[in-house]
Amino acid sequence: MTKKRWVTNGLSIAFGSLFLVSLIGQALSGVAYFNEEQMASDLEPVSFWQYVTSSSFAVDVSENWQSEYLQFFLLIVLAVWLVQKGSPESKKTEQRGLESDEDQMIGQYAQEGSPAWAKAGGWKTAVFSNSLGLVMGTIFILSWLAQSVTGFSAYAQEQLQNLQDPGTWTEYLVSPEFWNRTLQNWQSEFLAVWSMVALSIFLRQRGSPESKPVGEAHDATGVQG
Amino acid sequence: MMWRLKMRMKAALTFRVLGYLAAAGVVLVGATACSETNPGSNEATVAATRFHDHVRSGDPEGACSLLAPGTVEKLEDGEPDSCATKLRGLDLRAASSVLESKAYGSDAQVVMDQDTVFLVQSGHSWKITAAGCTSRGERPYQCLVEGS
Repeated sequence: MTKKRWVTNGLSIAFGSLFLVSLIGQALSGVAYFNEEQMASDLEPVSFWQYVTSSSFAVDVSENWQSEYLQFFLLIVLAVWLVQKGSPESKKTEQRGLESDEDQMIGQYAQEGSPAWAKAGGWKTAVFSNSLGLVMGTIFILSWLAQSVTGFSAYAQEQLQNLQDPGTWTEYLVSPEFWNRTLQNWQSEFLAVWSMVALSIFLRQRGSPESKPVGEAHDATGVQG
Repeated sequence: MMWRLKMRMKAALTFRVLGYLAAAGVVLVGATACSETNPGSNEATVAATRFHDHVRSGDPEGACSLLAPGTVEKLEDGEPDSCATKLRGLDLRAASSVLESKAYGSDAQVVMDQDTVFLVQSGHSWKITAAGCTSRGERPYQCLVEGS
């Protein structure tokens, strides 16, 4: 990769790398912790590969993924209609809603460099106009489904260790365990977004597109640095 | 013209990546859904059946060899090598047919006609953690033989 591409793709490279490092770290610490419990029960330790293909690891990963993608999905979609005065995370009040075709540069208002499906019209433009929300929402649903399945498997295993019946997946969907796992993730994600929306009204980070310019007024809305 | 071609190629690449992500998601869900098909339950069933074969034939030593270390330790209760004697004294009801078997991760439950047995996988074999178990609804089973 040329030096220019390292620069122009720096944000993706940095966060992609952080994701991989932390996922590997989670797997390594997870297998060590799992084997501590195995040894405490006089059972044989498992290999790294056995652990990362287990329901224990899968549920710990998927429960975090589903809440992250739900957070992004809701922020992307709700911010179309809901505003917060003074926040750079919000549109201006008069821009609430889907906005005009001209503002969104679609169909006849598409520019020279506009994506092809923005110009195409019909279902292609309709799909492309909602592609970000659709993908985020789909990944949320799939990862929440994965959490439910892997979470049930881990829960059932714990039930058996306690000499109790494992139950079924449908029973697990309405169980306190499933909803406790789900809601403890959701509350932290919604807190993070709420903090970002509210704190960015009054606080600044020079040079960051997530912040208003340092000298921008507190009541300036939808302005980024 | 070249930049338009590049833009089309980038769009095509984006949709290809999205397609791969979608496929990975389907594989993830499919793979995790496989946990519902009880991998390991057949082996657990074999171990539970062998345990009760030993019980039925009056071979407590053979039955003890299939118990998990923690279960043997609790059964012996500080008297080494007394597993067979203690097991014989419990007068377990011998079961013959398997009604249902479920395995999740390294733990399993085998429901038989006269007993419910709990097992754990250690290495490549299944060991019995509890036997002679009676259901108490949502509370843990009450078992004649169980580990700590």
